[in-house]
Order: sequence, then C-alpha cells, then structure tokens
Amino acid sequence: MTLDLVLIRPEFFLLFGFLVLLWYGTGGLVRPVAEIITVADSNYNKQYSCLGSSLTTTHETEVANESPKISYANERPGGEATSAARFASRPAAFGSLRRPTAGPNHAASALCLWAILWCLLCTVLAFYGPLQSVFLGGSFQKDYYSMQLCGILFFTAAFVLRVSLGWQKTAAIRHTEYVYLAMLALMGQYLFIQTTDLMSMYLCLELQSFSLVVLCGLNYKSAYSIEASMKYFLLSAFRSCLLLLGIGFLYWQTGETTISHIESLVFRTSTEPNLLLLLGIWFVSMGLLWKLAAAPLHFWVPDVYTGAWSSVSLWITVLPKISVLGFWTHNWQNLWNRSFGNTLAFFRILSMIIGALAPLAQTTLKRLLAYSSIGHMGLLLMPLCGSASNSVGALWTHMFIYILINLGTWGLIMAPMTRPNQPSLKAAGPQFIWDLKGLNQSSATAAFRWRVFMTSLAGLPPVYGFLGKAGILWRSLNNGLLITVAVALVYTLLGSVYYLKVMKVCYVDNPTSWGTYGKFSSTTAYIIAICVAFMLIGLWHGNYFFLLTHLLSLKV
Amino acid sequence: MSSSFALIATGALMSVFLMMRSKNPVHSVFYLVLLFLHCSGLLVLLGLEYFVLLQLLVYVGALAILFLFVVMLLDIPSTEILRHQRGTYPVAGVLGLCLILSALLAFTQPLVESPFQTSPIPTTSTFTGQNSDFVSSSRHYSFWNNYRTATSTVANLGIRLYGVHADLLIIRSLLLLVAMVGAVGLTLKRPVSVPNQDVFRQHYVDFQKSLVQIPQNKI
Amino acid sequence: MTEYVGVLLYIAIAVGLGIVILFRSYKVRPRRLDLEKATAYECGFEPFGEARSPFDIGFYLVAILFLIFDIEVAFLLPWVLGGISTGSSGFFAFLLFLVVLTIGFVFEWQKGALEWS
Repeated sequence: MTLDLVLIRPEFFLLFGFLVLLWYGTGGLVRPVAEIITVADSNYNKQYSCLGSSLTTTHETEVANESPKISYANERPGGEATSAARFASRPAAFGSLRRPTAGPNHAASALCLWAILWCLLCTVLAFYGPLQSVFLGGSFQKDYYSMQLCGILFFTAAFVLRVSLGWQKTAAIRHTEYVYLAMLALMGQYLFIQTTDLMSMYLCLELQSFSLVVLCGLNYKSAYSIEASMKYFLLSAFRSCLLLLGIGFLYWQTGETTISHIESLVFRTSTEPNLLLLLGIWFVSMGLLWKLAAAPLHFWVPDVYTGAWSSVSLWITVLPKISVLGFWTHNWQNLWNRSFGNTLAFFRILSMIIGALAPLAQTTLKRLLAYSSIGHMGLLLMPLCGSASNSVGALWTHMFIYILINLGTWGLIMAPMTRPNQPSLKAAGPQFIWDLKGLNQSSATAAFRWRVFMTSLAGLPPVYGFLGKAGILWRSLNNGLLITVAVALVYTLLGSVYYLKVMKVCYVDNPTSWGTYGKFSSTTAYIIAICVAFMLIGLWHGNYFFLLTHLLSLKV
Repeated sequence: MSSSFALIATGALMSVFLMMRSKNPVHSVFYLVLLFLHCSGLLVLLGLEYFVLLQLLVYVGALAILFLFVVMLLDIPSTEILRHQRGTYPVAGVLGLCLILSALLAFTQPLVESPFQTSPIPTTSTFTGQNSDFVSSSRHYSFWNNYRTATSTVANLGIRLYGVHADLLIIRSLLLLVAMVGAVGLTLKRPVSVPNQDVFRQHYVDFQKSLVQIPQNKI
Repeated sequence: MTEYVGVLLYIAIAVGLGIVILFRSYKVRPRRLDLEKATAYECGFEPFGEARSPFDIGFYLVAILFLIFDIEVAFLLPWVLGGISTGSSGFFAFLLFLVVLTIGFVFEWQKGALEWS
C-alpha cells in the first residue's frame, strides 16, 4: 500500500524523503553529524578536517576551544612525516574531545549525498510513474510532457549537487540548511512544472525563489553574498507583487484562476479582450520573464551570480529556467501568444544585445557567465514566438545542451585553484579571467576543457553547442523571424569575441606567474569529462537528443 | 460611501500622515499599528472577516514587533531620518497632487465606463435566471450555495483550504518551513567552540555523588 | 453589520478605560519638576551617547519564529470553523501541515536557535 502511494503520488515520496532528511539532520534521532570546516594545511597542501564543532545541542560532545586545534594542525608536520601516520594518530589526539562516534564528519556533504540519492529516486519515479492524474483541487496536473520535464529536472539537480559536492568542503560550507533549501527549491520547481492554476503557480514560484534567496545569503560573512541575497530578495518581492496584481486582475475579470479556463473564457467567448485582463496577463508574464532573466528584467543576475556561492549560481543558472520554460510552453504559451504574441521579440532581441555587449567589459568569470546566460535566454525565447510545436523541440534541445555546458563550466570554476601571489588557506576556484593565464602550460587538459566549453557557449561548429543554436535558428527561419535571426547571428559574432578572449588567455598569454589547478574532486572530474565527451561527439551522434526533444514537443 | 467608511478611512489617512511625520521611529511604528487597526476596520466593512483576523493577528501582533526590533537593530540616528524626510518632499508633493486630483475627479465625475470599475460579484441570483439550464444546474449547486450563504466566510475558506485545495495548504507549510530554516540559517551565529553549559544537567547534579573521594595514591 | 456591535462595545470600553487610567494617573501624581530633575542624567555625567543601543540579532530571530507560528495558527483557524466538515481527508491535510511545521520546529530547536547563551 505504501509502495502504491509512492508510485501514484511521487510528491509524497518527495515530501517524506525531505522530512526524513530534515529529521536526520537535526540529530534528534541518531546524532550523526558534526559541522566541520576543512582548512587546507598550507605545509602539506593536503586538506583534512582540523576544526571540529558539533551541533550545539548535542550536549555530550563538548568541544574544547578552537585555538588549540589550529595549533595542533600547524605543529603536526614537525612530528610525523607521512600523512597516513598523522591520520592514524588523530583519534588519540581527539579522543579527549569526545567527537561523535557515528556518522559522517562533514554533515553538509553527507546530507548532500542523501539528497542526490533522493533526486535520482525522484527521477525514476517521474519517468516511470503512472500518468494523467490530477491533484486534489485540480491545481496540478501530470501528463507526459510535464513528467518528462520533471524527470529531467531531478536528474539535472542530482548532477548539480554532485558537481558542487567536492567543492563544498573547500568552500567551508558546513550549513546543513544548504541541502534542505536546495531540496525545497527543487520541490517548488517540480510542482511549478505541473501547475495549471495561478494560485499554485504563485505558491510554487515563491517556494523556489525564497529558498534561493536564503541560499544566496547563507554565506553571510561575505558582503557580496549579502548583497546578492538582498538584491534577489527585494527584486523578487517586487516581482511577486506585480505577479499577484496580475493574478488579481485575471481573477477579477474572469472569476477563474485555472489557466485553461481563463484561456477559453477570454478568447473563445468575446472578441475583444478587456484592458484589465491584458494587464493581468502582462504582469504575470513579466514575473515569469523576471525569473528567466530576460533582458529588461535582468538586473539582478550579475550581482547574484557574483555574490552567491558558485554552486548556488549553477543552481540558479539551470534549474529555475527548466521549470519556468516548462510552465510557459505547457500552459502559458497560448494565452501569451494570443494577447501579446509579437512583443516577445523585444525581450529576446534586447537580451541578445545585452548578452553580446555587456560581457565584453567583464573581468570576472562569474559575471561573464551571468551575461552569457542572459544572451542564451534571448536565444531560448526565440522558439516561443512560433506557434509550431516543432520550435518547442528546438528550445529543449538547446536547453539540454546548455545544461551540459553549464555543468562542465561551473565544475571547472569550482575546482580548487592556487594562485602565486596569495597562497591562501582556502583554495577557491578561478575567479578572474586572468586566473587562467598560462593554463595550457600548467594543465593542458583543463585548458582543453575550457576551450571546449567556451566554444560550446559561443555555439560554434566543431562542438555540440552548435547543434542547439543551429536548431533554434533553423526553426526561426522557418517561422519567418528574419530580424531576430539577423540579431542572433550578430550576437554570435560578438559573443565569440569574449569567449575567444578566455581561450586566448588560456593558450596564448605568457605570464610570469600563474595559478594552477589543485586536486580535482574525482566525481566532479568525471562529470566534467563526460560533459566534454558529449560536447565532442554530440554533433555527429545527436540524433537521439533530437528525437527525444521532438517527442517532447509533440506532447506539449 | 457610508459614514463609517469615511470615519475609518480618514483615521487611516491621519495615522499614515502621523507615521510619516514623526521624527522618532518608535512613534512611527506605533502609528503604523494604528494604521493596521484602521485597515482591519475597512476590511470589516468589506465583510472579509478572516482578513480582519489576519490583519490583527499577524500584522499588529507579530509584524509590528518585528518592525520595532528592526528599528532597534538598525538604530538610525534621528538626524539622518530628518534628512531623509526632507529629501522625499518633492516626491511626496507629486504623489499628494495625484491624490488630490484623483479625489476631485472621483467627486465630480464617477466613471461608469472605466475598465477599473468593479463588476458585481456573482451571487445566488445568477443561478435563478430565466434560463432553464441555469435552474437545473442551480439544483446541482444548491448544497454549496446554501452552505456558502449560511456560513461565514472563514468557514467557506476552511472548506476550500482543507477540502479542495489541501495540496496548496501543504505547499504553504513548506513555505513557512523555508522561512524557518532560512531564519535559522541566516541569523544564527555558528557557535564554533563555545563551551556551553547545559542547564538541565547542572540542575540535576546529584549532590551526594558530586563529592568525590580522591584516591590515596593521588595525594 | 449588527453582529459587530459587541466588538464595537469592547473597543469603546477598552479605549475609554485606557483614557481614564492614563488621565487619572496623570492628574493624581505629584508633579514638581525642577531643572535638575528634568535634565538627562548618567552617573553624574552628561550623557555620552544615544540612549538607544543596537539590539542583539537573537531577538530578531525569536521574533521571526514567533511570526511564523503566528501565521501557522492563523491557518489553523479556518479548519476549526469550517474545515472540520471536510472529514478525515481534511483532518489528514491538517495533520500533515502540522507535522511539517513541527519538524521545522524540532530542527531549529536542535540547531540551538532557541537557546540563549
């Protein structure tokens, strides 16, 4: 009976899995976890946890002061030679501190592993669960299209979490809240794809955006992080006000919140839609486009990307876009097309212009990627203009390739990197473009990967990124959007300049001193390698992808 | 426009004015509370009982306290507040002009054809029209109609919230959970290694056992 | 609107009582101000700084948690008044709502958000 419940309603599994993890993380059951920072040992260049602090309420593990342990870490190297011996001697030294006897040392990454498992199970449920069921009030609806997208969403989320996992220790993420908020955001996104109702749409949108706000600000020791979270919060509060106003207008005029009902009421009964109704549709669409970071509503993007942790930026780049685009193509497309169909050209052309011009002045890799995502959003909005369902297929092809590229690129950004002028304890990834100087000499493989991903982002032929862009341009040509295609071509031309700049820094520049990549976390390295492999062979073996997205587009 | 509406609306406007004018931020918060009370009065006039309750319970009860804490947390000197107030005079002037103009317009020519005119809320009379389809369907709706007219809006809301849209209720609880987890995550200072004292353990120390005899060989 | 007469009466009595108490205490107490009494006084010195001082953020955390549970209670009210007629399904929705929030509460308790050290 339980299995039936889980199979029929994956949401119950979703919710209970989350609640069990939350309960586990509190330490109420088994007291498993200690929040531990990892500090890199500068002498041995080997990282191990030397600073332990347990959950405060696990009152039996009274940890002594912080300072003796740091000195312990620093005075060790004089004594033993091998690290193995050091690890062997650790329990004796820490014995008096009464560390937690069971469970993992780094709570955040342990919970993250469980969350990845949860995501994978949800993927299976979403792909193979029974279909065509309606929730209680009819606010959510499952069909083939939405469930496939949900499966892809969870699958992507598992990889996003896994890419950031190796980086979490070096970034000193010891917040167990990180995992919970990520899971809550994921739940919001999952339900958002399935919504057919404006009320539930608002709730799901708020669920994911508030979790993302807190995720952005979780690193509250850094002023950038606080700035990111404040900007995201204030702008998203403003956005949600407009969205609510729009929903209010729609409800006022039609007395309905179900989108399909509104559609049939508005466009099949009367000839001329009401001004207020149009205003409502406009406001709701603005809220969605804000979430997608289309151009005039993109101002939050660069600062949020810069301030938040890289893993959170990756999360914001990929996952909300899947869900919002899924909702838009599934439910909102008709309503928008009939009322403001051609107005979307303004958004996509403006975002392509900004995506082409703004990154030319950037020196930070994250800001570069942020503006590049705005430009890509312009590309992704191109298929939404046509009414043909084929163009939705082109949209998803590009989106999935974009996900792959982002996984790899952000994986490379999250890999630890040591710089010559600041041999700091905390090894962060490359932050500025000039961090990559002379990468070809120090690590040719990494340089090659940067080259592949940058070419893919630019959408140039020898790699997979070309396929998505070519598909979108082809569909737009078929729909007769000549001006947009012209702008897209100019955008590609200008965009290649700054992607080529990154490659030039990697390959041509001969610096006197350069940063080098540290040790990659093995799983991250595997994921990056798989992405690279996809990029390289995808152009010749991309049929499967096309078929999948075509099937999706037929089921809209 | 009834006289009670005029009374309450004037009170609300007055309290807004006082809130903006007052130099002491704590006084501002109290005028804000007064504004909330007036708003709940307006909601009573509209017959939205549940929102009256929310206004009183959440805004007056909790949010005003939160505002007070923010005022104390930030501790902005009053000179800065004064400076800020003076900076906003032009904006306030423009907005006030708009308000006066719209009020004048509302008095002189009530707009009949305006798209912003509220359409009347469909009531039971909709279903008892001449059309026979409506009559047959009104039987279908009769339970809900009777219930809707016989009980208060809060009870109707309860049925919608717990019967029809229970899934939205669960999502709402998740939203509250985000707020909880987020508040803990953002404001809780991570106690790296504070030697905590467990109050309960100290209270339950057995005095008979706390005296330990030191073994002879240690002396 | 007649059903609100009781509320109106209650508000009137509360306001009247407040006015009476404040007015009486203002009138009854002796007021003999002089210069020394009226000046601000701080351990024999002129006051050094502002009387108000920044708050600990812990208060803020407690206030937010209070707000959350306040909203939770506000959501429980419709169940008592009308949702009870939805039967067992409504009751289970109600229970799930409470369970989610209770686990959140346990989480913050275990995190030490309610402790004051």
